[in-house]
Amino acid sequence: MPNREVGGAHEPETVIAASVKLEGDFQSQGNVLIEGVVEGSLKTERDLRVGERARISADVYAANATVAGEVRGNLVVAERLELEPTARIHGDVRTKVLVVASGATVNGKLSMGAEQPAEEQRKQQRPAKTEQPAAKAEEEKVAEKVMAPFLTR
Amino acid sequence: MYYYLYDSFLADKKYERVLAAVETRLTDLGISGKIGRLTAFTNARGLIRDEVRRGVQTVVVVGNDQTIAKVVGGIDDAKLTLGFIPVGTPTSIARSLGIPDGVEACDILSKRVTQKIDLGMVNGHLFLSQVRMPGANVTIEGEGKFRLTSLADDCDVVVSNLRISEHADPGAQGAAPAGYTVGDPMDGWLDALITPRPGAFMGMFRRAGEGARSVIPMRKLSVTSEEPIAVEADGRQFSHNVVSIEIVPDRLKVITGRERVFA
Repeated sequence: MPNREVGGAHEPETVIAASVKLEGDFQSQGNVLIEGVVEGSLKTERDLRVGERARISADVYAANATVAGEVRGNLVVAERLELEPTARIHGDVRTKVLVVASGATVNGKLSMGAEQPAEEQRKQQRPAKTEQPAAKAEEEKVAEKVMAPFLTR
Repeated sequence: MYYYLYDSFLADKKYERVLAAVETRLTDLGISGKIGRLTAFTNARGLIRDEVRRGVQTVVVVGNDQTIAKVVGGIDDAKLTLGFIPVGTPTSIARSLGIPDGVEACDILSKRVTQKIDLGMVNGHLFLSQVRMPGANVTIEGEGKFRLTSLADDCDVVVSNLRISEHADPGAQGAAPAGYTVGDPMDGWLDALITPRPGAFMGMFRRAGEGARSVIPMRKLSVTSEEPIAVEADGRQFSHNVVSIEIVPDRLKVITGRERVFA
């Protein structure tokens, strides 16, 4: 099956207009334009544009993104993230290159650059745990839940 | 070996001249063949099945968009090539495939440039071009993973496999906003277009298409409503509370012209 070809590098294949609400897990291989409401998760392998009237309550993943609306959720952009003056981000942001226009707001953690955040580097430097059988891992989760009230006293 | 399937309305005398010219041209090009006719007592499925058994590999639809819908709906599992000679109106599907009306279509037929295209399936019936659900208050479930609802009271939903040529039908409901590539029958996707009706959505959109149209590519979707949805698929009309639509990729080989709307 041939891959879907877009008419141009920046033309969106998916448009969620202002009159539409999307709920659930949405994935796209092409450019996406959001002007409406999205709840759940939103992923695209290419470019994302969030319009000024858009309201997103979702974790968002994109190669590049330009945001002019509201995003409540984590925003992970592989390459370049541009926040326009009306952008409102409530969540953690991770990107390689960030452009923030005057007026944009971000309430959350910010991780940038090609390098991984320090926390993830520390995790990778720890010796790898041997794989536990699934049943034993489940037991440990249950044990943690049971012990939690006692440990917080 | 060519089999020409004429629609029943072509029995009208006003089509005599054009049909005579078509048949003469086909003979001159050396591609004349057996003629079958759709009537009240015959259907496309039966006629095609019988001719395929006899070795026919190319069926040529002679008629309009509704004729194409009847024939596509009747091909079932048959592996054949479909050609078109548009006569009558409307002929927007043939135009989208690059086929001109009447005698000129014979030359396209003889050049035999073929493309393997996707078809769509709506509630178990194949369609080639579009499924339209005008004026519906519906919920669309896509890929089993997400749900789309219109915030407007009333919207038009078009699920497109083949974009209707703007020359054939300017302002067609299935036309995407300028600059968007939708309705490519070779990409393995269906494009759902959701347009709020004028005056809907708190009166914000005075005219349809004022930046209000959503375009969502999907392979499989389900459209549901509390009330029966009026559906038109390539001219065939029915209504149902649940409309299931999916792509059938690379299903049909068609003879196309240079002016087709896809690559």
